[in-house]
Amino acid sequence: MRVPDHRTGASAANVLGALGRAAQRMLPGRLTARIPKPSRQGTADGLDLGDLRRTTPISGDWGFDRGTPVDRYYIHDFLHANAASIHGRILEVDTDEYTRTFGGSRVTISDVLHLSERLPGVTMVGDLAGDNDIPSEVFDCVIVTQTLHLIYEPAAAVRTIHRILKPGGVALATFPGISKITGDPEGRWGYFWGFTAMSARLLFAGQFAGERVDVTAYGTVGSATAFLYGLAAEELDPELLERHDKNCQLLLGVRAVKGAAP
Amino acid sequence: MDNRESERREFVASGRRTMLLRRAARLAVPGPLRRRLAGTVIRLTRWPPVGSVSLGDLGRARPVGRDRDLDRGTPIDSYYIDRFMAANSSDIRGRVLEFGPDREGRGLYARRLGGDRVSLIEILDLELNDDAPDEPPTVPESLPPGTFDCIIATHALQLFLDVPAAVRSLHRALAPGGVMLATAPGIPRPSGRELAGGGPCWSLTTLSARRLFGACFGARQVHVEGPGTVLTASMFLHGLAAEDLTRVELEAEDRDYEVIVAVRAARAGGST
Repeated sequence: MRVPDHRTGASAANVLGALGRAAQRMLPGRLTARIPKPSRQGTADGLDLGDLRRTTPISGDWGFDRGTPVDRYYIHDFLHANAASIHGRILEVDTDEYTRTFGGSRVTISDVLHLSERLPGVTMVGDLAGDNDIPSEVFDCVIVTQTLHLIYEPAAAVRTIHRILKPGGVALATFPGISKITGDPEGRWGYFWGFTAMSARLLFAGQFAGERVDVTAYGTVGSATAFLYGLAAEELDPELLERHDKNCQLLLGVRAVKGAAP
Repeated sequence: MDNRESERREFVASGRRTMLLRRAARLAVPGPLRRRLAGTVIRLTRWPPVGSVSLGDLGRARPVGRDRDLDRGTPIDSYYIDRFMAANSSDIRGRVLEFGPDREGRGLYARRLGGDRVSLIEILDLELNDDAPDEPPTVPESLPPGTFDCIIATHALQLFLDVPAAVRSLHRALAPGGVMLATAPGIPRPSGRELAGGGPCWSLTTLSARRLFGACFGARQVHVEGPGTVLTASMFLHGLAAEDLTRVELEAEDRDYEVIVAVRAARAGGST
């Protein structure tokens, strides 16, 4: 079900309000106490904030519990557009999810890198941004989604990515621009940097000097708002997702091609 | 058997029942139908139900507040920056270096909050590369070392590609005991001024700020805060104003949402 404009949204909320009130009357108090009261308030000059006038998100789990998180929607968009580059020997971080989904039968060897643990499916253990034993110039494609913002020195990770790519190989990377942040309360790991198209381009251009670096920015102010609240992409009007606004960069995708050997 | 133990047993038993039901369903219902049913269950069991949430005017593809600069009132990031600067205004004293430009209307914090504690104000204008106006500004390298009692850098560091180098350079320019008051966006939303120079490079978090400043100043010399909630972050993105919200809403905190990151860092030595 979609909410194409605020009128249908309002009527849906009215129905909900009525349902909520009916529930309050019919159900025992200890149950209804848990149901949040629907609140629909605007501001003094008629601005309609819908159901979003609340200081806590609707989903605390990025929207995974409601459907596809909005950043995932854009990651799929980016990898789908670059699926032809996902072939041969692939390295992906943490899982082989995108290698399988977008590479399919074009993939000959699928490697999975994890920072510290040899979990099921992991074929290499090492730190992209530190000393590691990943062999040089072996991969046709390296897929690094939503990882570099968790690294204090992302340039070191990009250096490794460039080193391990074959000449002509392609790096496909995504990072958050606008997002809620996560991290370990003691600060051992977490969200260091929100990227912009500018830093994404310069970060890769620093290592892929004179080579091809393309940056795509995804997001609108509406989809960013929905993402912050933890709504799922399925709950949004497609136009809200697709009318990308360069001033509202929710997600950045970088495609960088390592030059062929001289 | 006390209450808690019986509750625990009931919890375990209900979990077991759910698991058995799930297994039975898996055997009885074919895969595609099962997935559709699971989707329906998810839609109907979330609160508010999936698809029923109204985003109101915040669900538009373009910002609701047209241009953020003083159009509707105080921009939400300015509200937090002003609050942070006011709380630390006693650090604004002696020789002060502040990032420009000296915008009309708002002016410099050194002037607004420093009063007669301030003996000298120097304005640091960003060095944009004239040959490549779309590139980030270069890090100011030639500041006189050990000179300033206070450096004010509100929403400036995010413009540099090499933020650590910028922090190092500013740290050097502080006199012993001098204080740096810096803010940066936690959620990027380029202002008109930044767009003219190609836009910001980064948004920071309290985590990166603590590490950035801790590396120069020492962890114990650095105080970091990151105010904001999902509501203020969204209102900020839409260019809406602090006046659109209540004080309680503005002052609420949620560590997952940092509209700005604010740092007070004191250079060791001196009496501070």
